[in-house]
This record gives sequence, C-alpha cells and structure tokens, in this order.
Amino acid sequence: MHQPAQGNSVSRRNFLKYSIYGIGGLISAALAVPLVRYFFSPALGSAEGGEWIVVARKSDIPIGQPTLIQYEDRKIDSWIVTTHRKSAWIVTQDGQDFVVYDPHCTHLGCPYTWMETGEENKGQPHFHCPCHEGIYAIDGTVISGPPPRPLDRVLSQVEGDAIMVKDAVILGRAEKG
Amino acid sequence: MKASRNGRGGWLEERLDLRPLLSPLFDRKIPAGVGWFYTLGSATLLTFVILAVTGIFLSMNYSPSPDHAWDSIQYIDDQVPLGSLIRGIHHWSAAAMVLLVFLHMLRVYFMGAYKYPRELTWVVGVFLLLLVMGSGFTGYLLPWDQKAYWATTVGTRIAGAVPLIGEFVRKTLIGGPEVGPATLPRFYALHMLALPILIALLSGFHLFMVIRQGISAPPKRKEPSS
Repeated sequence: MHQPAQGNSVSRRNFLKYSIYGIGGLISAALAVPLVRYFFSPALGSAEGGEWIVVARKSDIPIGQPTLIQYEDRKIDSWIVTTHRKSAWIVTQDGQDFVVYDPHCTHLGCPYTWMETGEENKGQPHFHCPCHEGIYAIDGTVISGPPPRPLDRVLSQVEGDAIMVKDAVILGRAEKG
Repeated sequence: MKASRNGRGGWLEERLDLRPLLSPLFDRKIPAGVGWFYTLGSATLLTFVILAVTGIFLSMNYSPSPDHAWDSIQYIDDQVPLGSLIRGIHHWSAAAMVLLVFLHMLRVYFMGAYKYPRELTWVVGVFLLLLVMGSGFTGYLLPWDQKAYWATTVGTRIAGAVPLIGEFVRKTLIGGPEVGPATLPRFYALHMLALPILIALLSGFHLFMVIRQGISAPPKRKEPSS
C-alpha cells in the first residue's frame, strides 16, 4: 500500500500543503475579486451627469404662445436625492421645434412674464421683466432695457410627443446676422 | 552570502531569516486526538478577518446619519456593483461569528480546556465574547430600519432596567434620552473602530497564550474505579 515516492510524484505531505494553499487561495480570490470590483466601480461605470426630465407634451404648447411650465427637477447623487421645483418658458412657432427658456431675466435674475400687449414693444407681444423693464422678443433677443444678453435656454430635446429638459442652461448669445 | 540557518528557503527567507521566528508559531506539536472541534477558534478568527475586510469596504458607501443611513444601504444593495454580495458576506459572517464563538466556548468548557495553566486564556476569551456580542448589537442598528431601531430601543432598555445605574448606562449607550440622531454615529464608531480594535488586540493576546501554552490535550476517559 505505502508506495515509495517515484520520480516526480508528489509526496503526501506536499499534496496536503498544495491543497491547503489551493483552497486558501480560492477562498481568498472569491472574496478579493468582488472587493476589487466593488472598489473600482466608480471608475468603471459609464454614468453621465443629469437625466432627461419630461416637462411637457407637444400638444400642451400652443403655437406662437409662450407657455410657462412647472416641473420637478429630481437629482439622484449616490444615495442623496434632492428635488427642486423649477419652471421654464416653452416657445414653439411651428409645433415642431421647441425652445425652452430659463425663466430668469439675464440682467439680475428676476422672473419675467409674457405680455400679449403693452407699449414697450410698440404694442407687440413680448417678454417683460418688471424689475428694470427688460424687454425681450419671442425669440429671446433683447429689444430694450438693461439685459446684457438674450434669454438663457435650458438644454432640451423632443422625443415623440415629449418635451424633455436636462439640468443645463445655455447662456443666451446674440446671434449676429 | 549567508544562507538561512537550516540552509533552505527562497529569496525572502534568505534575506529575512524568518524560519526561526515562524517555526515555533506554525510547527507546533499537536496532542493526539485533536480534531475538528479544535478548529472553531481559527474559524472564528477567519470570520473576524472577513468582517473587518468587508466592513472597510462597506464603510466606503455608508452614511451614519439618520437622514441617509437607510438610503446609503439601499445604494450599496442596488447600485454598487456586487455591493449586495459584500453586504451579504458581512451579514452572514457576523451571524457565523456569533455562532462559532459560542461553539468554541462550549468546546473549551466541555473539554475542560480552561483549566490550569489556561485560566487567563479563558478570561480573555470571555471578554472577547462580550466584544463580539457588542459588535453584533451595534452593527444591527446601522441599517436604520424599523427592526434596527426597535431592537436597539429594546436592547438598551434592558440595560436601563438594571437597578441604580440602569438609566446611566442606557443613556450612555445611546447618547441621549432616546434612540435618535446621536445614537447612530455612536454605534457606528463603536462598531467600526473601538470594538474591532479591542477584538484584534485581545484575540492577539488570546492566540499568543494558545501558542505559548500549546493546545490542551483532549480529556481522557477515567477508568471506572469500582
């Protein structure tokens, strides 16, 4: 029964030694691999900042009639969820292209409103900021008053019937023709 | 070049000459008849190591505040890759450790292994038992769910029932008149700093004595004297 070790055959002592190292190594690896994955996960994910929020339906926005919409901006940052009530003006001229304006005057940040009539824009409809009489046209350009630049826009896209915004404001820029 | 004392060993051994140091630790004489029951202490130590390692990783994504504790654990479970696995290992290792610690204690008790010269090992072991139970109790609160909250409320009120010093002990434990915002970081600090450090120190001492004194031989059946 007890054969003497021949050639390269592994002795009983070494076999047990290797078995212990092997099993120990397997158990360690089973624990270490998930820990490594867990530890490096922040760098391996492909998470991008911000999510698209559906704020309105196409059919909610009448053509040529700026519409103030309210929405909840819900941010999930790891385990902390913050909710902000926000609003925006949505404008469409053809029911296809929609522009979403940040609802604050570019002068000092007062909320502005839409005026169908009024002497400011020769009786034409316009955005009107009551703080310092900032007047904007429906396309956001400054007609008169102190605003330094056209209305800021909110990053938006249309998908199907849904108008969506992302938490990013594009500063208004005067389009030079 | 000086080889290690017995002339064997690899690169590291040649430089550090560890064998004389480690040999008394690992190449100890084991009494005849020692079997699986004698592995319970080592198994307990293994669960402690696993708990310490997984605990370090869990603490990276845990927020010990009443506002965020539960949410952060949901985040570990649902969002972090393999987070639920790491938390599961921590959870089950904790249960296993309590079980193993008791089995280990029962083994030592029934085999009379606590007797001279090993009384001190036993006494240190009793303190280790208390520390392990303390770790379990403080860890139970950390998920900050209903079960955690009420288990802590009930557990600390049991401490509060002690005559004279009860209320003092209860308020000290939970950091206020009732379980609240101050309790959670208090338990967290105990759970992840104070108790593990004490367990590591005491189990080191525990193990040192086991190695110093050798493993006790299994008890022998006495010849009937009639």
